[in-house]
Amino acid sequence: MPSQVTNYKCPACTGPLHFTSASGMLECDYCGAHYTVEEVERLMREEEAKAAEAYANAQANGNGWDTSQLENEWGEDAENLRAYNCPSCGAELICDATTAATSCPYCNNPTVVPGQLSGILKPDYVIPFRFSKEQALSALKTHYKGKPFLPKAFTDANHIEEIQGVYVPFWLFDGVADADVEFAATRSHTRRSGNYEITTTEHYRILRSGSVGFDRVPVDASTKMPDNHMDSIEPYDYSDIRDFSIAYLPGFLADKFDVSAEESAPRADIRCKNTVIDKLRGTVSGYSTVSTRSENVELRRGSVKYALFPVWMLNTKWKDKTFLFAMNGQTGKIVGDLPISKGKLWGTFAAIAGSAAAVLTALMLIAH
Amino acid sequence: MKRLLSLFLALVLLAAFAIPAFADEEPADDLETFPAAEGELETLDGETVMDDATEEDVYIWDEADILTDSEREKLNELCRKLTEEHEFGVYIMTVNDYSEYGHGDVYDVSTQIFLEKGLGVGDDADGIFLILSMDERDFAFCAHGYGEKAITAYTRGILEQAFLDNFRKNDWYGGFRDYAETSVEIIEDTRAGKYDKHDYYDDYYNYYNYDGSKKSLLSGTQIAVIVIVPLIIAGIAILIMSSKHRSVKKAVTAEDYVIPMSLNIYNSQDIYTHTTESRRYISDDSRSGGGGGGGGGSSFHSGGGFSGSSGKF
Repeated sequence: MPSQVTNYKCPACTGPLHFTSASGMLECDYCGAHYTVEEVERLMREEEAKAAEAYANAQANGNGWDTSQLENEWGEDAENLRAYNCPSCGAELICDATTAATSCPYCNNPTVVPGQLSGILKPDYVIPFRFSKEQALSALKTHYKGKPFLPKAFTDANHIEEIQGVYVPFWLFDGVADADVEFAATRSHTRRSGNYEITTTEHYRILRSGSVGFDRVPVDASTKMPDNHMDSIEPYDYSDIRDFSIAYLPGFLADKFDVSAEESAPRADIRCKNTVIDKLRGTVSGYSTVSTRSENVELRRGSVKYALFPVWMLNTKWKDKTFLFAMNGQTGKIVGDLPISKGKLWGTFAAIAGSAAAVLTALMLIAH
Repeated sequence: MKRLLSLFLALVLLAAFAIPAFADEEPADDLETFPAAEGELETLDGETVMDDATEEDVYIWDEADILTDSEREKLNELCRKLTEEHEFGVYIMTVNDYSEYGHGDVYDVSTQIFLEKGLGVGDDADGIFLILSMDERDFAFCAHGYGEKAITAYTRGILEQAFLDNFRKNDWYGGFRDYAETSVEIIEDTRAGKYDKHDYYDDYYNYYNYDGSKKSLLSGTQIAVIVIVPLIIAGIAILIMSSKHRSVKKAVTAEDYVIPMSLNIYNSQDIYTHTTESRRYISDDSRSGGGGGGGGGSSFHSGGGFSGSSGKF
């Protein structure tokens, strides 16, 4: 068993990459992409270098994220916790002394092994599970409904009993985004003059400057958890956020962060930048067309907090392909891409096209 | 006595010259006086171009001189015979420029000539009159009396298809012969109720092309629409339905985490810079949606006691 497991994310979808001995390549279970070890290592080195450079620049400008409050250690709580390692995907899981991990919530590997609790950070916040396992199972069945191309065999063969509740680590970023944005806008009028249709277009230069404050923008801090899944089960309701206590852990596993706040920050930065631009764009109205000509966004980064958010997870396989579903344990929002039956898809396509053609033909013959 | 006789003769001569001088002062464009006298056909500039309509057995006036004497005689005899056998007048006229014979378009002129020449048979003046105007290759025919009932939007197409192919090949004799024979066939068929299934305005060209070929139920464009539009509709529907299977996507904004009321706009300027203008030409065709006039098409006419058709050949 390796003493240290290095986890690589798929550059395409951020899903975990696994080494396949048959091909000698690292393959992504989620999107099917495959890379040589050299390619992945080069990409990872580049990403780390970029993150380090961005962080160094921000710190040098006195505008970095304030991580000074992330110093809490587990202390006496450590005595009441157990740690598990997954030899398959490298997940490091913790739970209280009364809970035993029986399988990895990420890769479904049933042979997780006890390990040593390590790491210094104790979460600042936790959002407790509000939805039970039964409710999660029910939500998953509901998720299958209304999917016209879902293969029946997928539903029938699904092992939905393997659903697990996991506290997923998140970094929460506070801050303010200031932006100066210039838009190009037009207002058009059309009139008729003889045999000509004349379109008069008035052009405007729109300037907007403003700021927007953000409260705890979440970015998941686990490489095992696909980022898009975690983005998709948002938002979380912070009115129910609590100071962390291990009292919330019994019955659930908790993943330990393996992505630093600095590495996660660019994802929060991009979302904040896009949001402030959208907000300013929303103040431009009364025009036929509006396009962004230039934008300059400055982030006033605030404090960073560490939190555990509740997620129900199902990792199942069908036709040798892994399907991961995630449900927000607080709001019940469930996400997960579902397979498409090509037979059903093309059958529906033919039925719709045939019906539309029949209706059109009838209409044209009637009009004839 | 000789002096008195000379004076009398001089007065008579003076009077004889004076009468035409007054006649010249009469308005030449009064339609009610067209032609100047029964049996005469007078152009708008006052020139009398023929004077043989008073003859009861004349059914063809070849003012454009496109027929040989022999053809003219044969056609006249054919029309006379058909008219007598079917009690329905069949008449033909060729001119170089129809506008010299009346006002309006070629169809209007044909009805004016029909009336002015007193054509038709019986109390209702049953008959049909075809005019060819050679300069612009215009044709028109108008039918009166029972002909107004028989020449409908449908039967006018049958009649046109009978003669237009000949005229397009400059086969004047063949075209007139077909016109005459087909005209009375239509009359007899109408009397027999053959066209009862078509109402008066049921257009022949809804069923046939202008070249006489039968129209297919659906045009090539319609077939293309029937094929392509359903594929597009089905494609869009499939995309929408497939999207229900995809619920995982990357977050690009942090809208849910914006602090309420924290949007602070401190500069907002809308600056007008300039105006541009673009013009797009719209053809008349695209406005009117086309018509039956040119390019081998024809127009059905009815009203005023006549029905008929006009177009190009």
